Parts: sequence; C-alpha cells; structure tokens
Amino acid sequence: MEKTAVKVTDLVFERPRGAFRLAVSRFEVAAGEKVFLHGPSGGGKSTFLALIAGILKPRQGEIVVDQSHMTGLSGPARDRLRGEKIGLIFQQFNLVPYLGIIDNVILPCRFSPQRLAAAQQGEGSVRAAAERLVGRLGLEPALLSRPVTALSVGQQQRVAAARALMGRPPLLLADEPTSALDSELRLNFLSLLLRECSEAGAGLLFVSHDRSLAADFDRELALSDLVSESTSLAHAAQAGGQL
Amino acid sequence: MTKIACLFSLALKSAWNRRWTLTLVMLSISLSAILLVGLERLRGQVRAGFVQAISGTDLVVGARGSQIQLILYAVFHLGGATNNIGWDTAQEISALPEVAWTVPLSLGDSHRGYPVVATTAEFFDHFRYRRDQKVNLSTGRPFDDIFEVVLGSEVARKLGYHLSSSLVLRHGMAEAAPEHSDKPFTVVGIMEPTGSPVDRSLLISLRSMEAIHIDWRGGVPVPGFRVGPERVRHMKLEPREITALLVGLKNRSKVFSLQRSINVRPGEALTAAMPGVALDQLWRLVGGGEKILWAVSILVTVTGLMGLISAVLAGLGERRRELAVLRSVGARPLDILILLAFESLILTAVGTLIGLGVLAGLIAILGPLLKELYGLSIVLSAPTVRELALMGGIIASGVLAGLIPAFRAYRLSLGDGLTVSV
Repeated sequence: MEKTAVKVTDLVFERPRGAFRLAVSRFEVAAGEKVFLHGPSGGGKSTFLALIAGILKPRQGEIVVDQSHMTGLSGPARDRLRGEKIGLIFQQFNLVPYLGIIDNVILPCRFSPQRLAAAQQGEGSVRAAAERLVGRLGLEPALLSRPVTALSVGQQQRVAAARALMGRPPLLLADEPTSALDSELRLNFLSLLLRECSEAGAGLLFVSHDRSLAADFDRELALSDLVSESTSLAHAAQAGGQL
Repeated sequence: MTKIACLFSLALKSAWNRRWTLTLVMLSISLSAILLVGLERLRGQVRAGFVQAISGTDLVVGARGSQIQLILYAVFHLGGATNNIGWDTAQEISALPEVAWTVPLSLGDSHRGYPVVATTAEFFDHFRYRRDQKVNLSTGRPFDDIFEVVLGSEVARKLGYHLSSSLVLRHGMAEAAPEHSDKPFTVVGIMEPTGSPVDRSLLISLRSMEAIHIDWRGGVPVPGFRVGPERVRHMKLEPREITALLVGLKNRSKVFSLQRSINVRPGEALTAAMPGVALDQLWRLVGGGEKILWAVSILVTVTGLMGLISAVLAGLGERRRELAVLRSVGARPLDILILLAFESLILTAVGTLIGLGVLAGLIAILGPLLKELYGLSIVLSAPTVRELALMGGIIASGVLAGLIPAFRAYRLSLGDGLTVSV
C-alpha cells in the first residue's frame, strides 16, 4: 500500500448556524507528492487546509496525516500532531517579528520533540540544520544577522519555507504563499520549494488561485472537483478568510 | 530547551521587542513598588521610632492615673501630669532590691514651645531609644552646674543655638506664661539626632529646676521675693517632687511583680507602666493614618496593574498573526495563555525590581536628610520578610492581572486558528 502524507475520507464540515458547509468524500496526497489545488477566492480552500491542519474540527469524516488520525483527537493532541507532522506556509506575515531568522526557522523544533530529533539527526544540531535549510533556499549567510522585519517579502517567504521544512515533516500545507511576490520571485520561490520538498520527501498541498503555477506539480486539482458538497461560499469567504 | 523555557524566552524577546511601549507600564509598576515598599519601610521605621521612643527602661512610674497618659507625658512630653510623685517616694523605689537604676524626670517648663526635662546625669548613662541605642552628645558636655542646659538636636537646629548660647525658660507650656528671665541658662551640650522625643527636649538638672522655682509659688513669682542666680547656688536645692521616674531592673523577669507591687503600694498612689506595652497600645490609637496611606498606595498599584492589562490588551490586535504563527508550529492555546502570563510576570518582576532599586537610591540619598530634618531613621538595609512578601504580592497580582489579556489571547487563538486577516 502506498504511503500517504494525508488522506481525507467522507469529510463534512459545517459552520455554526449553517452559514457554510463543506463536504469532501475522498482526497489524498501521497508521500512526497506535490499537489496543486486551485479555486476561486472564498471557495473554502483555507477552511479545507485548516481542517487538515487540525485547527478546525469536522462534523464527521476522517483525516489521517502520515498514518496518524487527526479527527477524534482532543484540541491539544491535534496541536501536537500538527507540530509534529505538518509544515505551514502562509500568504504573508509568516514570521515572528521579534525572533531572528534562525530562531524563526527552528521554532517548530521548540514545540515538537520529533522534529527536533529529526533536525538534530540530519545535521548534528538544530542550528546547523536551520542554517543548511536557509542556505539551500538561497538566503546569504550575511542576511542571518538581520532582523526578519528588515527582509524583503520574498526573503521572508523563504524563511517561512525553511521553517515549514524544518525537522522534515511529512506534509507541507501552503496557502497562496506566492501571491505577495512578483512573477520572477514567484517562480524562483516555487522552484526552491518544490526542490526542497523532493529533497525532504514531504508531501505538498499547495493552494493558489493562479493556475499558471501548476505546471511543475505532480497533480493539479480544482477545489470544485474535490468538493462533493459546498454551500454559501460567499459566507465561507467571510468565515474562513485567508491563511 | 523545554517548551516552558521556550515560552519564557519568547515572552522575554516579545517584551524586549515592544520595550518602548511597555516602558511606561513598567514605570507605573515601579512607582507602585516604590510606594508600597517605601511606605512599608517608612511605617516600620516610624512605628519603631514611636514604640521604641524609649528602650531599655523597664518601668515608668508616675502619679496614679492612666498608663497611656503617663507614657504620653513622661516619654513624649505631651499633656501634663495630673499629679507629681514625692521625691522621698522616688528615693524609696530607687532603693528597692530589684532596681538597678532610676532616672527622675521633672517636667512642666518650656522654651519656645519645646519641653524642658529636668533630670540627673544618670539620664545620659541609662536612657536608651530604638533597640538600646544610647543618647550621645554631638558637641559639648552634659550639664553639671545649675543654669546649664543640653539641647536636643531639633531644638538647637530650629532655634539656631550653639554652645555658650544663652536662653531663658518659660514657666509652663503656654506662650503667655511668665518667663524665668532672671535666671538665664547657658547651652553646654547638643545631642545627636535620635528620632526620639529627646530631639525636641531641653535637658537641665533637677537642681536647676528647683533653682528657677525657688522664688515661685502656685505658678507665679512670689511678690516681693527674689533670689538672684548667685545666691541660689549656695542654697540647698533638693527636689520636693518629680513628675516621673524611669526604672531599670537588675532582672527583667521581675518586671510584672514589681509593677504590681508599685501599683498596689500603700502610701502615695502610683502607677507603674511598662513602656513597650503602653506604647504599643498607644500606636494602635494613633497609627490609623497609616491605613489611609495604605489605601492610597494600593490604589496606585491597582492603577499600575490596570495599565498593564490595557497595554497588553491593546497590543493583542496587532499580535494575532504572531500568535497564529505560533499555533501553526504546534503551540496550544494554553501555550499562548502561558506566554502572555510570562510577559506579565516579566513586566511586573522587572518593574518591581526597578522600583526597589530606585527606592534604595532614594533611601541612600534622602535617608540622612530625613534623619536630620525630621528625626526619621530610615536606613538602607536588606528587605524585611514583610517587604519581600509585598514585592511577591505585587508580582503575583501582576501575573493575575496579566491573565485577563492572556485569557483574551487564548480565546482569540482558539477562534482565529490560522485564519487571521491583517
């Protein structure tokens, strides 16, 4: 049986008072697979990612991340599972402003002993692992001493990608991570991200409304193909927002 | 690094990142600490100064009356004695086998509002204040001859007297009372500041007291009868009566039995009071003002803590994304609550320590001045258990107050999850 980074089965999610409903009968990302998910703004993409990340809890269905059941877990247990198995990249404002670049990158290792152990196993020390990652993502060593708020948006996104990859989580969730970048930086960032995911063997679920980015992914999906039932999408936009 | 250590480190870095915004909050907490701890120290010292206005004296003996009144006039020279005690009676008490020493006090006269205390040279040997401290002369010598006076530090400073100054005593405490102008006194000594009523006293010998009243009867000069200062020197000047007698015992365990025996003694009706006990009772009567000061400083502390709450709450809006990032890497909402609580802990702890430092500086700078001007002995020393408890109380209150924004952040992070629009 092929190993999956994430597997979703018979998922149903409802906002209170029926403002929004999302139903996905079956979805999965294989280990190391890179999936491009597109759809219109407000279509429920962020809600779907929040469900996979264990932030939102579905009414029914099953979400399995790297063979661990997310559904049915308590809130703290979902938080722990997310810390261990999932790397997240937001559209922007990805970094903790008062931490340096390396401290931002090693943040997941502070909350997950597994990722800490994985990082240490690879490079000997967590700091060395972080420095290697930011180096591979094209950040010059001279930049490391600068505060993260002094970095360009493109540089910040690379730091965010390094953080998401830190400790080799089996699944990366990225929600519109390139939308704040210009076209050249966008392609550059994407190619670095895909390369590093391959290197780490991580599954990637990349969400964007820009289908021109889909070419280098293993698979491209529209949210409408995935969703068996979705209502009140306009409300969903208000309720879910962007990651 | 454990998760708790990581959260503490994050809280530290976060607070440092917002240091300019948080400085005012911290200063208001420092001010609270200065007020609360400073007031406690002042209260402790004032109380000690009051309760230990006299120390080492086991009993104060006076005419029959209330013990508190006896202490008020014998120690603080406030009010007046309803009656005096006979010199013979005082001599008899001095001769009791339990008694190690006695110091007679004769009161009633004044100089420009300051009380005159007539006593003997034993006063300088046996009178103690504040934990057995001896009274010392800053300049000059004790009185020896009649018409010699030793001044308390405040009397000398306020009235501008120095050695060899000449002054005249007034009969009684009233401003309009007649003066003993025919028998001026010469200043022969000035006491060091003590923070006790001695600072406000003029000390003369019992013989001097007799000498200035030799030609007085019933509070007025005897008409047509004058005894000049030179003539009075050659007269027998043994006091007939005194106001009170300070008594020191050979063995302090006998104090209760001696007090009882003096109080029920046949003959002249006497009251013997234990100064420590009576002063403690008196402090309970007069110490009510401290409660108002307490209330004010607690209000200042509450205001400081409200500032802390509002500053942290106001900052939460712009920190929601940062909290969401922490949630994305596995932080639980409880971790967010702990993070915010740590921030409050750091703010109040640093604020309190700064306050303590400033207070120590103020005591070092102003302490000698307060002693000089007001006789208040406030010394730089390690914090007392009560002061440490107060500081702990400020920090604990800060953490508790910080739980309000922390709980708000907890709720926000539960609701926001990873989806914050900023």
